[in-house]
Amino acid sequence: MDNQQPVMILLVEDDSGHALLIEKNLRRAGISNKIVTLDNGQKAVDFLFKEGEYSGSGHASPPLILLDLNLPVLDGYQVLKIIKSDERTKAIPVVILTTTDNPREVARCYELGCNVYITKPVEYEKFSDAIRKLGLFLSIVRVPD
Amino acid sequence: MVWNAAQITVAMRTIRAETGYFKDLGRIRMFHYRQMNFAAQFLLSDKEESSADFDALDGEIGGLFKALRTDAQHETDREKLANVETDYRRIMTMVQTAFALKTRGKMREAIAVIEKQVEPLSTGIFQKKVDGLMALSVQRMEGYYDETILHLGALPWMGARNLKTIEGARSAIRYYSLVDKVTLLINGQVKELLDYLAAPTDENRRGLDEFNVDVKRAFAEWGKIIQDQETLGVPGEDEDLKMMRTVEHAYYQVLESAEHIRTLTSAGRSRGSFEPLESRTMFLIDNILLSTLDAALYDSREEIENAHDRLIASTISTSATSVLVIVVIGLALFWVSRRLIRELIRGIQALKAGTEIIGSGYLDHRIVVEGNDELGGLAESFNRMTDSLKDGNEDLRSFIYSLSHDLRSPLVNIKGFSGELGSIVRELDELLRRSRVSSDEKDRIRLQNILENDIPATLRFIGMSTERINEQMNAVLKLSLVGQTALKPERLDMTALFRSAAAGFAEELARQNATMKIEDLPRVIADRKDMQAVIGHLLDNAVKYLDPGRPGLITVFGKRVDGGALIHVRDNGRGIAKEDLDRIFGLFRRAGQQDIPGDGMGLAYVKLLVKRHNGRIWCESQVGVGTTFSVSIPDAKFIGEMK
Repeated sequence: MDNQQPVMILLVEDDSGHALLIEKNLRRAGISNKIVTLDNGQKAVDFLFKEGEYSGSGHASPPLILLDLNLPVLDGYQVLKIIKSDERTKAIPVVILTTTDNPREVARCYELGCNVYITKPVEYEKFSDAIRKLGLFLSIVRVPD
Repeated sequence: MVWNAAQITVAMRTIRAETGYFKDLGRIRMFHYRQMNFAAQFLLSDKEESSADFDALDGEIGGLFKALRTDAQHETDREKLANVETDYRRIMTMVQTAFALKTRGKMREAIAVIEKQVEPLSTGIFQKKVDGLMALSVQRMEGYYDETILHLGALPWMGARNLKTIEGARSAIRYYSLVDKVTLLINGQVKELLDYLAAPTDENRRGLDEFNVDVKRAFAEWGKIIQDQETLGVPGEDEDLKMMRTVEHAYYQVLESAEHIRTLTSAGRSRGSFEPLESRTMFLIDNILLSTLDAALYDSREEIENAHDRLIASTISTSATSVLVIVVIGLALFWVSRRLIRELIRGIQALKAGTEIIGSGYLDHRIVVEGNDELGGLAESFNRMTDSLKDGNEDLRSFIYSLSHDLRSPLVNIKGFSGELGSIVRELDELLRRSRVSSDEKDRIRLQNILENDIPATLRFIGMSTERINEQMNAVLKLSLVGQTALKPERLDMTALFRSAAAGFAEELARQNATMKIEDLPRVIADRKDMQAVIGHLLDNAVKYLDPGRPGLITVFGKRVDGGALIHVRDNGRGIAKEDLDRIFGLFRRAGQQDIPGDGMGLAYVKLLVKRHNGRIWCESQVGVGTTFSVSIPDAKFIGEMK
């Protein structure tokens, strides 16, 4: 666990319940980074490129993005596409965290360049397990400066 | 009809045989006349060739009698013929006797034989009998022709042409009879003339004049018949006319010469002085008058045959054609119907196979039926039905897909927070246990937090999610009910329906400073409740998604298109992004800013209702400019409740 820098994780999720559950489980998994939650795709893109309502903001680029697919205004696929096609952001690991498990959708996301795809299971145990694993994974990975 | 044609052919053949018979009788008569002339010449002038000619003609007549015996169609004819032949043989015997007498120098006896025996037998009996046979034959011929005309009536396509041909044939018979009559008269007249020249008595003169009247009448008749034939389109009427004129002319010349000779005789001039005139007159008589008549008679006999042949040809060809046509039509019908039946069977088999394939679930299969229109049409409707079935299935599938995903979301929360509740309870338990032992400030704060925040929040999330599921279930139920109740189409005044729906939005419109304009809308035959629902949702959307940045204007306009109505609801609101245009009709899908309450299923519902009417709904939009929803509803095929 590297918390020398206040590195934040970007969570793009429109359902507040899901967002809370994810946050709780990330915490339980030992991740104490700041979690920024945004509830639509457009806001996420603006945040990353410091445009729109976030222009002039001084935040750093997040080392990790947790992305839901069913987002209003701009959906997850489009956000993923934008992230992975822009020089500034394409290196950021993106974890797709969504309800759909349709193999076609999964393949599509990997094609667009996502790094990990996690289906939100209904089973609580599995969910928290997956997040915890993610947390451990993150703890192993050296977060760059 | 074929029978009629056959009957005509039979009749024609009978007529032909009869004509041959008639002709031969005529020939016998004519030859006999000439024979007698030659006999007289031989006796009076000693010309050897006359005797030879006489014998030649005898040979011909003998041959004719033989032919007649075989050709005679009726038993009575044969009897009569035998009778006539006997007479003829008697005459020949007598003439031979006369010749023998003459050779022996007994001129007077010879002439006596001719005058007293041959003459009465020849002209009085023989000729009359032959005439009688010929008259009978002509009668029979006319009868056959009448029969033919009767049968022709049953063959409409034979028509005027063939009728004309028959009239022509009939007329040919009449012509022949007339020429024959003229020949008879003129031959008779020639005899009178010779008598008169030998003894120019007043009595003989009277005889000549009497005959002359008949001859004149005969010429007039002849002329008339030629005219009639021309009208009937019988060929060769120029020739006939020429011949007639020749004969006429020659006849009057002969009369003139005869008169001249008589004048010279009574003037007392010796016979020797006008011998050249006499021989010229004889020449006229033999080589022009009589031989032209001969030719005319021969031609007219030919004409009878030709007219016949023409008629037989046309009836045979027509009857053959009609038989052929009937057979060909029959074959064609047979062949066509066989093909049709085969096509029909093939088409039905294709339909059967196709429906089995589709019925077992392969909704992509389409039935192809070639050739037959009715079956092709059936296959088409079947394919269309499969299309709409597939379409409906697709809709259903995408509904279910959306539903399952959208249900998962609240379920994640329910499960998740139920789990959280579990954790909280465990923590609570721990804290409570510890608080009995110590009273850590931190613990107390945490305890309070749990009771005041964590638990309520968790419960709230669970509650919200259950409610969300409930909403979705209701929406889906509502959708599934579309199509359960019967359609009750009626004539709808869409303008009135829109206006009354618009009234409900009056307050909202006023608040948003917006106006709604409803133009004259086409009428349509559809279900009232369904249309009211469609209208309500479309107006609702238009009002909900107005752009606060400009004064809202919603226009409803439309027109009749063939068989139905086309209506547009246009707003100048926020517009919809191109990629969302299809999504908005999906279940629970909404597009754009999610700041306006709504269940996201209005358009899915509307689409189903429109589809129930076999209509279409689509959307055109530009972000920041406005949106137009267009609905086309074809008239229902019935009014009232569908059982």
